[in-house]
Amino acid sequence: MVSMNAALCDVVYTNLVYQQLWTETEIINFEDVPIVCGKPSHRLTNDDNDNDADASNSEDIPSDGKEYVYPILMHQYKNSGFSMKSLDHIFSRLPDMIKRLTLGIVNDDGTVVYYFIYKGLRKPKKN
Amino acid sequence: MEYRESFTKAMSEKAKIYLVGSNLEDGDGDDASSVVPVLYDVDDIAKIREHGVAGVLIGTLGGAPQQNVFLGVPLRLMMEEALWLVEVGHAVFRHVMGQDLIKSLKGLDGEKLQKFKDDRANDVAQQLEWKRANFLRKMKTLRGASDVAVPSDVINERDEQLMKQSIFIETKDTSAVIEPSLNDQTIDQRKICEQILRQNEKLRLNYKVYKKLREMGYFMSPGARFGGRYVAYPGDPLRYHSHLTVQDARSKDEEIDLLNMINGARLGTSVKKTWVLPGINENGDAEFYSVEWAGFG
Amino acid sequence: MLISLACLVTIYEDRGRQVLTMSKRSHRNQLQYKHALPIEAQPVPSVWKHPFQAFSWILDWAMRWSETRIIDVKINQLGQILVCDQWQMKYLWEHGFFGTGQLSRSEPNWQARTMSRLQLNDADRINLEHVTDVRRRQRLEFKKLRAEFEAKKLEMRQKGIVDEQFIEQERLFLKNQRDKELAFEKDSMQIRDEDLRLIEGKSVIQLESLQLMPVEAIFLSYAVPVLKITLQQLMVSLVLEPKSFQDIKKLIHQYVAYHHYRSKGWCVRSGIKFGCEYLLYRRGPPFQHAEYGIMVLDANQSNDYTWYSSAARVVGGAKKQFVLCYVEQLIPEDDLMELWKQSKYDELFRNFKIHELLYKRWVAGKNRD
Repeated sequence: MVSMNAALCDVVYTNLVYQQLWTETEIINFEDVPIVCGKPSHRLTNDDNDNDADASNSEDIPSDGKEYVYPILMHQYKNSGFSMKSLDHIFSRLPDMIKRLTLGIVNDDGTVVYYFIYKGLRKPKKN
Repeated sequence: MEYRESFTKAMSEKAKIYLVGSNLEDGDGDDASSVVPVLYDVDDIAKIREHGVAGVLIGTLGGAPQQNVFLGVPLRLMMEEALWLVEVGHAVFRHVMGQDLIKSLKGLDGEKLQKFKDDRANDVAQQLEWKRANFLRKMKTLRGASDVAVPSDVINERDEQLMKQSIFIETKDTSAVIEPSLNDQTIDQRKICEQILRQNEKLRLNYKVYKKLREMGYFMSPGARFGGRYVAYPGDPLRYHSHLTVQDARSKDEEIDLLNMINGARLGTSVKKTWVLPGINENGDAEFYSVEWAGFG
Repeated sequence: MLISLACLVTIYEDRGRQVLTMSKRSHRNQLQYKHALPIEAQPVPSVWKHPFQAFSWILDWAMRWSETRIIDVKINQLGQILVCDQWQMKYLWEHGFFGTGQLSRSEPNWQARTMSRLQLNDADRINLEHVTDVRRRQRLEFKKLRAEFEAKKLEMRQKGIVDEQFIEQERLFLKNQRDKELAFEKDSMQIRDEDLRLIEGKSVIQLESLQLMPVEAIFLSYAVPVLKITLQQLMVSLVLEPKSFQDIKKLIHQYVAYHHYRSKGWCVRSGIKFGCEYLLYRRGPPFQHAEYGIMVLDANQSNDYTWYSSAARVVGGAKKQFVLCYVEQLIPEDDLMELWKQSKYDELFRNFKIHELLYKRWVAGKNRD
């Protein structure tokens, strides 16, 4: 199980560094929760809300520009077993300053897709 | 007596929500899902909007919804909205129609029906008697005492016919023989809420989510168009864009369908809404996670 | 699409090279992707000059026939089915668009892309992924500047100032930004430490493998047997010890649907990006966009309206038709399970039937035609 997690982290790590071109990327274990942490090659969204009249979202944005990616495996033909409890568990292990988790979903079609998860309610970003 | 009056007054100040559809009293099935809460009174509709419930105007032309963009009353509510309004005390449930009506007809015994018939015949006879007396009085005045050739107490057949035709039968707003099973003053509002919730597990979970969001100030609309249970607006939908597509509530250990989540978050990106996953924790409280596409990958 | 084409043209003009025209490109595609499946028909010569020629042709044909299983696959502990050999990766991509490059959007072109990013060669091939990336970044920059202007405007309005000049300035500036997007500047690429690890002489090491979806692997081992792994070995590695039919049901259903569309001549690829199971291409990704998004369902399955509506909207939003593909089981599950246990896959697959439904969102006010 542990080695499977490690293999999964490797897939996401390689994808982030060599497809998404992230920098300062490393794998950190927050107890039993492995996280791939790093800096995107450019700002991901325009969520540096300095100009936004309503800055209620800006507190969620990592100040050091780092993102925290939790890898999960998604099979076309198997259940994931991933629930809100799993999310609670991951967030409980992360330092409080981390408001935004990124799910790195490793599909069995060879792609990795990334989704932001916030605890609580979050306004949509401007398009 | 005084108490009765003030009670009636208090009731009338609350918005009246009519439950239309099936039968609430046969407890076990999934019946609450086929009961539709609607409002007919425009003042009531304005009232509940002030309390953060917008509802959907559905009009009475069920078969021709596209006839007009702006439909009229009734206003249809989601069951969650109706429950919340009643529970908080902004509204009351009024009688249930539908199967209750049929049930009440079945219970109609001969005695009751006979009484109705007798009453009606009585009413007709009384009116006829009164009309006859009037007619004769008029005749007498018209002819005076001079004309003795025609007996003053005889009415010819034609006049009798005309009199019968002019008899007025009152049409009442409510049935004279059927008593609505949920009568305004007699029904226990809390009991109906419990009944509705007891019948539907999914509604029970979703109601917790609705209540929490409503109390945070959100307006909710049905969310099927955007792939959710609700669309949540930060204020009145006429003034604000919606921010969130809220999914069906679930227990926290229920598995998340990742493909569905990817779907929802993708759709959310294109319609500018966050995809919200609500869960009910051990204490029965609603908690939320918000999901959006990260913008890469 | 128009914009990205404009970008392509600009790049080519900037480089002082021949402008790539659409027709040339499609001609090149026709040549490169002339085989729709990993099967190459051997033309029979129209004239036999010598009996020996016939003999050699038959020998050649027989050799090829005996050698169809040519692709090595590796299944790692995550269950990923990988093709690592450079030539084999290319072969599977060019013969029916099988698999996805693990570090690419679809075609395994990471190595070439990286070499061009690190400016290790002057690749003639322009790189669509890079274009999309830069465009996405420019778009963000544009939005940020627009937001700044909006904030200033709001501030001025609150102070009661109406500055026509400012508004005009804003308009011009934003227009400029837009034009810049079209002009597409190749941003200077700095080499990261991470990249240095890759460089080997004048090239970069190959980090990328081609990953096959389980259903693709089954197809390439069963219907068009080119993988060296046998169907049975493959099945066992996909589902180790199924306890009941439920454990294999989804895989079988997915495969039955996949096989159905492949055998009808469609190029079938993963639909995860659009929240469905498969995308159908008439020929393949380089030729045109996918026309259909397929959702595979059990024939008895019924979801609530919200589910259909959101799935259909994502697929419909990408200008694809949404198809519900219902898989019906013709014999009881226990019997299907028995066939699996005996590795009678042929018979197993035969006991399913496909029903299809095209689902379209229809709005009375908008769809009057």
